Amino acid sequence: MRVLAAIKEVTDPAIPIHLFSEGPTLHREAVPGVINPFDEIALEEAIRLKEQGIAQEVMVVGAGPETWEGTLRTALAMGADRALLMRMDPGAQPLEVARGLAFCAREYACDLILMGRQGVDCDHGVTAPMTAGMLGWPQATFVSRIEFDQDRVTVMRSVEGGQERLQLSLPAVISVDLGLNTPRYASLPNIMKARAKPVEVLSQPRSQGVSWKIAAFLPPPARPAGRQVASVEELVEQLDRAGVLP
Amino acid sequence: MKVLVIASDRLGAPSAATARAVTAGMQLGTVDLLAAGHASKDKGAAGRLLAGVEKVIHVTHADEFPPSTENLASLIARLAPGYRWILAVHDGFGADLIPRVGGLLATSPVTQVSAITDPVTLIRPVHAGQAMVRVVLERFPALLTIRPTAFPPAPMSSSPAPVMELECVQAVPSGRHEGFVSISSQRPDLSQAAIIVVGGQGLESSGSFAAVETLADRLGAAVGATRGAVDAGLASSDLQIGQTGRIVAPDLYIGLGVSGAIQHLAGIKDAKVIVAINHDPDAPLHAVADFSLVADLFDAAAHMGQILSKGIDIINLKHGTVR
Repeated sequence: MRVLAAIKEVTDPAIPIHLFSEGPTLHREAVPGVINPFDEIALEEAIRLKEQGIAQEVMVVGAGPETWEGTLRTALAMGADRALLMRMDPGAQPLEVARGLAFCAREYACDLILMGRQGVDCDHGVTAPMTAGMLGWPQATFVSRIEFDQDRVTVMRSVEGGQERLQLSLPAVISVDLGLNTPRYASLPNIMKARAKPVEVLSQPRSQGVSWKIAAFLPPPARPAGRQVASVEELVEQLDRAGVLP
Repeated sequence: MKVLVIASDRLGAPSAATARAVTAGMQLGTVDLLAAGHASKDKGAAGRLLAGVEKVIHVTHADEFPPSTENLASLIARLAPGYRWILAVHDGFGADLIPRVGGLLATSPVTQVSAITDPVTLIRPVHAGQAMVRVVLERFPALLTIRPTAFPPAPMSSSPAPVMELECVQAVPSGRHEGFVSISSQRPDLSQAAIIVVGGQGLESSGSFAAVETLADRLGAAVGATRGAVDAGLASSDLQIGQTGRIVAPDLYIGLGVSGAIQHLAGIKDAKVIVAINHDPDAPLHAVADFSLVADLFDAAAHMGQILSKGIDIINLKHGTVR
């Protein structure tokens, strides 16, 4: 089985955003790029499938600008066998990314696509089901457990109020949620080795145009200033006045 | 112009979130409601009583289990030419279904819409709500998911809308539904709860989440956790709130020993009232809280529980309105 682990590079989510000005691009201080945390969980799962002998090869694919090469090398250092950069503009819409991933999955005869449930920058959360729809493959989203039995895979989806158990036959697309695993850190020797590995580069398929345009980035609605209370009694009294106690 | 609203959700009973999606739909055009999945007939019956719904499309199926997302997406893609917008709630169903329809129609959906400025201009959060974007639709039919907490429920109507039946055939390779495991907790779900009590790393000294759970049960509240508390093994990851966890919008959020890391704050911005209880006066949550109390969280939580269990009479005494 060949697993395609799709990753997105995002700005480090630990660094808060200070919007410099309203406008069609996000003006903020320069922030280092990291693997999208949800994609990192998907990549970790792919590497574990290989370590368990269930997968034979893990191919990591990034659909983005050439500056993502470093992030793809981090994925190689974690344990991916090969890395592919599907060259796209930084602001490529999910439709283009999904088309790129569907193309790679066909071209390289992949049996399973794993990725995070959403990128923590744009928060679209659409790429996995879009790719599955394009390929006509079964899909499972928000997956927090994966079990393999031959060419069938049983997953648990974390949804409102509980977990849905779904059985999929391969090929399939799975997007993962927290709780599936804890990603490993790349070891220093593996980071050194990954520097020597090639990152293959593919060109973007011809764009199908945009579905929407971003007119402006805006600051979030401001919260009114809060107040400090001196005691639990005062707190309960204030909450009662605000009408939020049962 | 017409809007197709998909009732929530595939596995559950008729959901209150559907009425909110209808409100969002009404801000765009005239609404048809598609009811599919478990209890689709009940969903249809509830949906035809919502004011603004012109027609209910009740999806029938021959099999025991509800139609898969894959087959429903194909059915909706076939209906798409009759609509200018197709809209669902952003939940485990809508966020699974709408993008798949997008793959079939070659359109990127606009997800988690929090406001509709006009029928082509939408507002949605990015970076977990640290910024908003104004999006202008360019391709139709447009596919949308909405944040239910951002729209009020549609009122009831006295004249039920007509119902049309449509069979969903199982034609696409699909995941097979094998069952549903409900969260055993007696507490409300984080996405539905009016009150949420959240524990942070401050709980680590006690080695358990008992203080959070006791206060939550006193308030009939859901329990949430920060990433720090989850990483410390105090709570399971499905309780995690924040950028990589759940985004919540309760009426009341009470943070016990929550420092207020940016990733966590991103998940609670939509709460109506935020309370911070932390002995550390420099905890960032104090800065965004509506009410902040610098105190030992264990003492404060226990004391708050005592006051609440005695009823609101104490407070009425303080207000001078003795009953």
